Amino acid sequence: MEWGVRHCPGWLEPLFVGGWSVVFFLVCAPQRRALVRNLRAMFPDRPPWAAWVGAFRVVWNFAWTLTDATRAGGGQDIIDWRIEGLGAFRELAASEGGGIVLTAHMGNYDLAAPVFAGRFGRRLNAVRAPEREAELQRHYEGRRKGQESEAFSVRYNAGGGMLGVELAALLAAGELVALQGDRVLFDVSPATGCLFGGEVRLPKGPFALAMASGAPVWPMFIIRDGWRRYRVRVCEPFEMRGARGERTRVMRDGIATWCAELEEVLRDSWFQWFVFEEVFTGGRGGGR
Amino acid sequence: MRADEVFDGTPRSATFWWIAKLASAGGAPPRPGVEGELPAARRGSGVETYALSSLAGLALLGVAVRWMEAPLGGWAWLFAVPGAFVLLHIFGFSWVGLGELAQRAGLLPPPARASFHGVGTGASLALAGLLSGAPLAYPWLAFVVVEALAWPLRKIWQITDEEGA
Repeated sequence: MEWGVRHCPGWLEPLFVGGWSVVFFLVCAPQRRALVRNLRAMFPDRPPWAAWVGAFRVVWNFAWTLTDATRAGGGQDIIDWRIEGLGAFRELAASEGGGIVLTAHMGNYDLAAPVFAGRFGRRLNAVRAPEREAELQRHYEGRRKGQESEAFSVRYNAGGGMLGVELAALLAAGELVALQGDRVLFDVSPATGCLFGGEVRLPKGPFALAMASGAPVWPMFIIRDGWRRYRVRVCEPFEMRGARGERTRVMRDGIATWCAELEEVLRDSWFQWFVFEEVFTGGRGGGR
Repeated sequence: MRADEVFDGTPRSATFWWIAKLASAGGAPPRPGVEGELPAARRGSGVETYALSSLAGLALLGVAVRWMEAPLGGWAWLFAVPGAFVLLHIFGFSWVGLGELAQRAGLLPPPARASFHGVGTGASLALAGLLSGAPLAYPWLAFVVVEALAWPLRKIWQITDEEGA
C-alpha cells in the first residue's frame, strides 16, 4: 500500500484517502465506537450525530497524516511546516541539559521529530510504543531506522522495565527525550487526569521520569492545518520538582498542567486526536 | 467573487470555499528564509488537487453507473460509489504497475514517472467516459481535451518566447 501511495498521482489522492477512510470507518467498529464515546465525553452538549461525523473526521485526518508521512518518508519534500510559539521553541533550542518533550497523538508526530531534531543542538530520542502486529513493527522499525541520525533516534517501549532507567541516563547526559502523554497502551502504568471535566487515563511514565530526573517538560503538539501543511505548537515548559513528602502533589500538579495544555489544543483540533481507545473513565471532574 | 478575501493565494468564492477549506486551512503559506517557517519544495496546490479530484470522481461515478446499468438497472445508482472506488483502483494501480515495469525496463526515467501515471490514468478515465457515454464524465473529458490542447500550445509559446528573447 505504501508503494501505491508514493506513486499515486497527487490529484487522485483525495479520492483514495476519502474512499479508504470510509472503508476503515465502517470496518473498524471498536475504534469507531471508542472515537464516538471520546467525542461525546468531550462535547456532551453536541447532538449524537455530531460525534459520528466527528469520528469520521478523525479517521479522515488520520488517513491524510499517514499518506503525508509515507510520501515524506520516501524522500518527497511536500510538507509546509510552521512553528507556533517561536519564543518557547527558541528557549528549548538554546537550553542546555536534558529535557522532556511531551507530545500527543496528533498530526504527524512521526514526521516532525526528524525534521526539527537538528535544531535543538543535542540528540532527540523519540520513544514509541511498538506496533500491535510483529510484522508491522518490523516494517516501521526499518523505515524509522532510515530517519535516524546523530540528532535523532527512536526507542521502543517494549516492556522489560529498563526503558525508564535508560531514559533517565539520556536526560542526565543532556539529551532530549520525546514521549507521548495521552494514550495508555499495553502494560503502561496509568495515571488519572482531567480533560473537559471528565476523568481520563494517561500514562504515568513521562511524569514519573520528569520527577525523577528533574528535567523540564516542554509540551509540544503537531497539528495538521490543511493539505500538506502542519504546525508545531511549542508551549512554555514546566518542572515537576518538590520535596520527598510532596511527590503526590507534584505529580498531580504536573498532570494537571499537561491536561490544561492538551485540552486547549483539543478544543480547536479535536478532529485530529488519534486516540482509538476509550480514554474517559466515566467520572466527572477528576484530577488525581 | 469577493476578490478582497484571499485564501492561500486563491481568491475566495462561494464555489471554492469548501475546496479551499478542505485543501489548505491555516492561513498564508510559510515563507522561505523566515524563522519558524519551513515551506516545502514541491507541495503543489491544494485547491488544484481537490478540484481535479472532484472532476475525476464525477467521471468515475459516471463510468461506474453506465457500466453497471445494463446488469443492474436502476440499482446501479445504489452501487455507484463502491463501483467507482473499484474502478479508481483498477485505473490507478494499472498505470502505477505499468510505470514500474517501464522504469525497470529502462524505458521511463524516474522523474517522468509521476507525469506518466497522471497522464495515463487521466487519459484512460477519459476514454472510458467517452466509450460509455457517461454524462457525468463530460467535465473530465473537457478537462483532458483542454489539457491536451493547452500543453503543446504552451510549449510552442515558450519556444517562441525563448527565440524572441
